[in-house]
Amino acid sequence: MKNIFIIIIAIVSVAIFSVSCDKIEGSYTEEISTEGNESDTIRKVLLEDYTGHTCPNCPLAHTVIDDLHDRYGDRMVTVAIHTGTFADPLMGGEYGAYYKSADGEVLSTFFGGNSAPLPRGIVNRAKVNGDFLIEKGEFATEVSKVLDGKDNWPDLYLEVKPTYTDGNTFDVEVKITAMIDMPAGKYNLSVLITESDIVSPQYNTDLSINNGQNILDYHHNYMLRAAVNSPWGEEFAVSITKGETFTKTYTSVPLDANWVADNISIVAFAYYADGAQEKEVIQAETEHLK
Amino acid sequence: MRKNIFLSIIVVLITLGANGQVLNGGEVHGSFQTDVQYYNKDTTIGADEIPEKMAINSFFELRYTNKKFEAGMRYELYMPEMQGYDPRWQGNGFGNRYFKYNGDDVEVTVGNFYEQFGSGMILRSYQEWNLGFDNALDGVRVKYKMKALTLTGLVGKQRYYWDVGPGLVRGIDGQLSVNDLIGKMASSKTRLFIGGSFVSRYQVDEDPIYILPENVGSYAGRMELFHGNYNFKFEIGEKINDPNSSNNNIYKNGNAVMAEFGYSKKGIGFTIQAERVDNMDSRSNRASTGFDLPIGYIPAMTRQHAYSLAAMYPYASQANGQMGLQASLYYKLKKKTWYGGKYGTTIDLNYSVSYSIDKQALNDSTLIGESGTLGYESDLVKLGDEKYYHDFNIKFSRKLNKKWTASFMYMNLFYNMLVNEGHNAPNVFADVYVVDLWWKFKPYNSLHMEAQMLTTKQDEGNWSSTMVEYNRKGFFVAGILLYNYGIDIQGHEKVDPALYPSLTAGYTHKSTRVSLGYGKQREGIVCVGGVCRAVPASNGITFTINSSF
Repeated sequence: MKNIFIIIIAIVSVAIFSVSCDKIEGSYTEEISTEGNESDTIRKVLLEDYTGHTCPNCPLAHTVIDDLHDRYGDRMVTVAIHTGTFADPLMGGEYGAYYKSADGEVLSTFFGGNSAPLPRGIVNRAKVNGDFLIEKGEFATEVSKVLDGKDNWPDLYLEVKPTYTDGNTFDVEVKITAMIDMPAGKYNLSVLITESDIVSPQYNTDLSINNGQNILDYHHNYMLRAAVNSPWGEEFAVSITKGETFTKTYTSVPLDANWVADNISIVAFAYYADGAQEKEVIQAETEHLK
Repeated sequence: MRKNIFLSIIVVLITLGANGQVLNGGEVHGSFQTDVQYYNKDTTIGADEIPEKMAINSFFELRYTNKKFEAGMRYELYMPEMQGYDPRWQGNGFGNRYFKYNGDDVEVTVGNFYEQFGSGMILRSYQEWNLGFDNALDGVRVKYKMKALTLTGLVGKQRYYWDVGPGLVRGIDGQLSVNDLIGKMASSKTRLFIGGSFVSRYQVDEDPIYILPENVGSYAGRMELFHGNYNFKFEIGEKINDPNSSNNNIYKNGNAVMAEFGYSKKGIGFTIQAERVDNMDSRSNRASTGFDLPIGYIPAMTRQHAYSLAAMYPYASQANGQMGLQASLYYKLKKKTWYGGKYGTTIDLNYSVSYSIDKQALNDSTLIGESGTLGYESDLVKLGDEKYYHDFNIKFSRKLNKKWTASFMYMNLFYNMLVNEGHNAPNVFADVYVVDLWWKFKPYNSLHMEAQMLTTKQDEGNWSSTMVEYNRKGFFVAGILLYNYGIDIQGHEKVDPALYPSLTAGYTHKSTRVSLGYGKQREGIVCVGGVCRAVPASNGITFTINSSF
């Protein structure tokens, strides 16, 4: 009896041993196809990156984001929210910049980005294993689940048309077209202002970036500056049928004098404002201000 | 599913009656603890205000055993979690529940369980309440116990705060007692144990950029040899390609080796340990970082200090690369000699050091540790360039007379900021001096006095700590004055001096302990076995009660 038991265990162990190792040989990366990414009428995804200039591991998250932009182009819409102690300005040094925003704080307080270890991110404001916040190592998988795992045809199609001539205000029109019938419920539209290429120091410890040293001329991209229509946006529909369009226009939106208009983008996204998928983003879009 | 199991446990326990510790031949044991902290804002030490004002961590653990059957559960509450604990703990519920059958040959556990293969190199699930750490497995474990051989097989997912991690963990382990196997050796002075284990993690690959292995296997072999007063332990392990967040997605295999040689006899003992670890961080979610979901465990080969200033800069074990050595010597000088004193004197000497491992680029076009490559090459016997930690400490303790006992400790420390705390800051060189006096002045009455000093020109500069503690039977009251001298030197971020006074009183009765304290706590790092968490500064009242039954 005992011998039989041992034999069974031996067989099982050998079986586990032989099937439980996936040795990857040859190429370690997936073949990249950017085909079909050019069309505008295509499903897009929102990635919110919770970050800070004294967060030593955040530049590594930004390389993941850059890799994803290489892979998916404009299909990924990124918003970087500087928050928590890592975004606190350090007195009397090079890290004196204040990159938090009042609207960003509302979002990061709700999603937990202000108290979590950073970097963390949120993809389409959908929960993963019960949590909104995910690790940088999960960004790629979650973005892929939306862009590769779902129909390419978007549920909603968004057009963002900013108008800026000069000065310290701009106008923006966002048009939402329903490509399918949407389930009954409330739908919100959020419109945000982001700025890229803000050059200032960034902590870094990752050896594959700048030899593990802090980067004094770091380019902070996709930085959330303010929300155009409040941090949670505004309701634009309570029921949506295929072919229906909704247009929201915001006029004389103020621009801070410290922002560089050339580097400003307008981000818009529609999301479920109630129901089982509450907060989940349906479609996102971004357009340069100029 | 989970809830049904809790209900079953509760129903079983209630059916068996809850009016006594002995129920139908079965027994109920358990323990509970509640930690409460009230927080005040204090800008002088950087203590933030928390909106809830008060935080509570609490657990209640119950274990029922009846002959070969055992069932248990633990209810946990973090409302909200105390500062320094991961915010994902917030909430309450049954964090642990299991059923166990403990037969003569076979032991079966379903639900949550803790397990360790050998030193834990490739599998260790454990819980540390004070760290807010729990990676219990949730699944099935079967142990088959023969005369000389114990086999353990398990499958499950790991606890991830109030959920489980995405990866499946499967493991098998065998521990053989050679003395029990070979008749001739049964009564030998030499005892030999041999063990081997295999662990595999499965996690689906949905990454659009990398081709990731879904099944990652690791295996380890070990031996333990005891001969008279000597002992020798050796363990070696390897892990196949496991690109993950902690190693920046490199495909290199990992490996680890640990050895320990020791001698101990009354009045003298020594241990020498050495380890080398390369790319062994394994988790049941390859994207996890920090404390989340570790499968294997690489201990820090350093002394865990009890004196607060000596424990100020603890080493955090580096599972992805470290080469370390630790030597300890314990010696008791003879009684009634001029050098040993009337009662003898003990000398406790300890040295530990840890370095990076050697890393060479694979070729001219690949950076060391570049994602999507084999990462680097490493010479097994070569030390890396970077020192991570060292700790030299010596302690003398002498009982002076029937009333007084005195100890002195000196420690010299090196602490690599980047490796241990993850940010670029000057490495810390520090010296620590401790004087520790115990005075028993009446039956059941004693006074314990401690003076500590830490000197350094880095980080926050010098610190001192003075403590007086009075004990009478189960009662104690202790006052601590901790002072940071601050730092104000050229080229260093200025730190203002700060005083952290605190007063704590407590009472222990049978197996229940209650304590109440008020004071300021410095920002710091708490470590258990090389696993660390940061604790923010706080100012307020703390209350703790724990009990077991």
